[in-house]
Amino acid sequence: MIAPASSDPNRVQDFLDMSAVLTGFQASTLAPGLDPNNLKSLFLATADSRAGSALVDQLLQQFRALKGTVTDQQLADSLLGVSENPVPSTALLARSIVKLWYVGSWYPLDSQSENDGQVISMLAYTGGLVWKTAQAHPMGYSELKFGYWAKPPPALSEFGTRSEAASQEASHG
Amino acid sequence: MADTSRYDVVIVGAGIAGGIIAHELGRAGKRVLILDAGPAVPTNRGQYMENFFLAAAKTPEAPYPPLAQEPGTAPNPRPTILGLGSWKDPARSYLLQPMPDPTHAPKNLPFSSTYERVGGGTTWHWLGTSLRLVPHDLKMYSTYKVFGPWADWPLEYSELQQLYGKAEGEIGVAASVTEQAPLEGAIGLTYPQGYEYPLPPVPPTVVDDTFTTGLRGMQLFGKEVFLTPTPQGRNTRPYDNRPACAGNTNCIPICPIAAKYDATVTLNRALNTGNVEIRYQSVARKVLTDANGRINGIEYVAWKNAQRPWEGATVQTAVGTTYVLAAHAMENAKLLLLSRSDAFPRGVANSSDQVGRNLMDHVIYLSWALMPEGVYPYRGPLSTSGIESLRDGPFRSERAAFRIELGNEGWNFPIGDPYVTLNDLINGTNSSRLNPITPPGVVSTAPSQRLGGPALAQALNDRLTRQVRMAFLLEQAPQSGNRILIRENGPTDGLGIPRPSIEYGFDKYTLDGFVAARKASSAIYQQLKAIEFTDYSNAKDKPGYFEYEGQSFRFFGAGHVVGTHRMGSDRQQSVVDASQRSHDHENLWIVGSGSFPTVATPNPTLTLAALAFKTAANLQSTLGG
Repeated sequence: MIAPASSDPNRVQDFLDMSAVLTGFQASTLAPGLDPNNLKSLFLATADSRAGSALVDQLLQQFRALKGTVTDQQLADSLLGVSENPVPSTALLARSIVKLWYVGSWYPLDSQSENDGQVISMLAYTGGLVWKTAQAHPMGYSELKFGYWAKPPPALSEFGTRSEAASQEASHG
Repeated sequence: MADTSRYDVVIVGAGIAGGIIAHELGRAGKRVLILDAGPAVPTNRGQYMENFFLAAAKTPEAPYPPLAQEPGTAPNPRPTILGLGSWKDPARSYLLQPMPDPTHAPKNLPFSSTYERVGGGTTWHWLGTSLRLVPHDLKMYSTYKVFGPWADWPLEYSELQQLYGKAEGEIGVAASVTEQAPLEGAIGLTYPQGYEYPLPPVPPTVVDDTFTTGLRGMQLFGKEVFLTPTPQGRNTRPYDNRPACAGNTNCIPICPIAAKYDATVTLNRALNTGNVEIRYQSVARKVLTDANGRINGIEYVAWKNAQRPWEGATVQTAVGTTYVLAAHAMENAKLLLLSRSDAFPRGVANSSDQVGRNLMDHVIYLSWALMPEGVYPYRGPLSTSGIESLRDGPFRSERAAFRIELGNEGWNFPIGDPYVTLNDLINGTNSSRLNPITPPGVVSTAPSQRLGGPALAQALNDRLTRQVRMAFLLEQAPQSGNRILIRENGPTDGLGIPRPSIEYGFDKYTLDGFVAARKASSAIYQQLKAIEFTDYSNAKDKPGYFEYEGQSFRFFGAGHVVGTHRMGSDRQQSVVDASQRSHDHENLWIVGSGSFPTVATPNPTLTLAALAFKTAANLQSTLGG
């Protein structure tokens, strides 16, 4: 199922910047300059249709309010409500957005299980960030050459993550 | 409706065995007809790949039709991993499984292996492992006095060696005889003078190298423990118009680029001879016999509509001079048992009453651990090396031997990672035991964290890059009571054909193999200074759970189904002879891993391919010309 792409460019940009903070990956990893796959719009549209755009806007508003005032790690922790109980619904939405970027599957907000995900599209799966955290490639989608496995992979930072120092710089810069 | 065309050979099943026989006879100018239950092989694997990508659970069956888990309504249903998850429910499970023992004794177990019923067969999702049997594997009774005299194979190893060469050429096996040489001393593996594999070996992964170094000098059960590169059916250079492996780490369920051999390769070769015809969507349901006991037809249902199989379906008969059943070991036995008649009340080829019995598998003891430092799994082919040195030894007079397959896919098989650890670290749960890192038996006082941002990426990196797993493929004893059978008025498939019922359990020989496997596994992880996480104590409601000697176990099926129409020289105790020709019907051959009298420890595809070459030669000389 492919949701219609969201059309408001500022909202898409904010969603992308927020996604970078939430996932710990650079925005340029999530959405390269030339971005034919356009996962950012697909995932925003998915969040809008599955969780309701009002809740998405509420989360985006929290992001805009805090951006630049705290480190990116603190911002991610705040949006995800990592020390709040019960977890607010915006934070549950933030979790589902992280999972969307990491494996390309939508998980309902109340999900507590890895079995609840639904793959959004082939490109959503092959774009999954979790494989980059393993310094690997999506299972079933290697763009590497014969024998690459005989050597250790490039460092994690080469896969487009944000280090804490770099993310601070980005948020304050 | 009778089909008046007459073929030299009618083959049921377009997998590797049927494909090899069709090719060999087709190029010898014989007219061959193949019947296959599934839809036509797609012109490219794009649709199968899309099915895989979009599947929530990336199980071995995920790419292949039928996609729905409704065995009662499909024309070509088969056992699946998702169906095994609902093994007590015939509406979800193709196999009619026994109800589990309430005390968790190792009996009434669900048969846990799966297969496909499409052109190309189960090689679509085989791993590609192409190990040879060793000489003692053929002579378990003569060597170790186990399983009774009929458990010796009616074959000499020297003949099998020659056949292996043909099968390795057909598959395109990548390996080096030099790299296998240490196994001569360890388990008696030898090659004919001057033999070399058709393709150069697959380079080892970082996981492999770490084990090779870490295991140096280790001994278990009086034998040296060392890693050997696995001979495997995947291209290490362009070969056979297919590319070199790109390490998609996806051999099971599907190789995206056809670098791994599958039987559609052989099937195409067969069809290209111009003498081989294939009818898809044709499900054999009865082997017909004449008054003299000769086979005179295969009755099959030709279906048109996968959703409503009976709509437009017709019953037809394929007629030939000779017949080959080359369906899966389970389906061959099912078809023979279904072919009961007044003249053959036990079914066709079953005067011995051995059809469907001695059902065996490689049952897997699976273990997993976290290495002290990154070894970078989720890269390369799913498995590239194994510990083969424990596959044979005097202990085989007492308990099952095993090979150890080393995985390159982290904890994907054991717990379903990376999904489980990812969800744990985000949700603040700990199904993986990695949030926080809490090995079995350890009580953690630290709460599970909920992570996001760089902390999430870092924690995942730490966990995922250190994961390793080993799969111990245990040989299972042949037991008459382990079998498939057909129950009167039982559930059917979507064409009204009865489905296999299972009776299955483990004897002491097999169970003591599990105990030895657990001991070996823990010793290996200790040697490597890894933290072991294997734990089945909370798997009581999972398929394959059992208890033995006060310990909790869970077994998995390797998909290596054997024994259901075993070969032997004694027609009272076996179904086929060394050429896989029926003892009872002179124009019937029953081929595949179902012919194996014992399962031994190597993955069966290479051996069943080798035997298919012997059958093809036997058929050709029978047909003459």
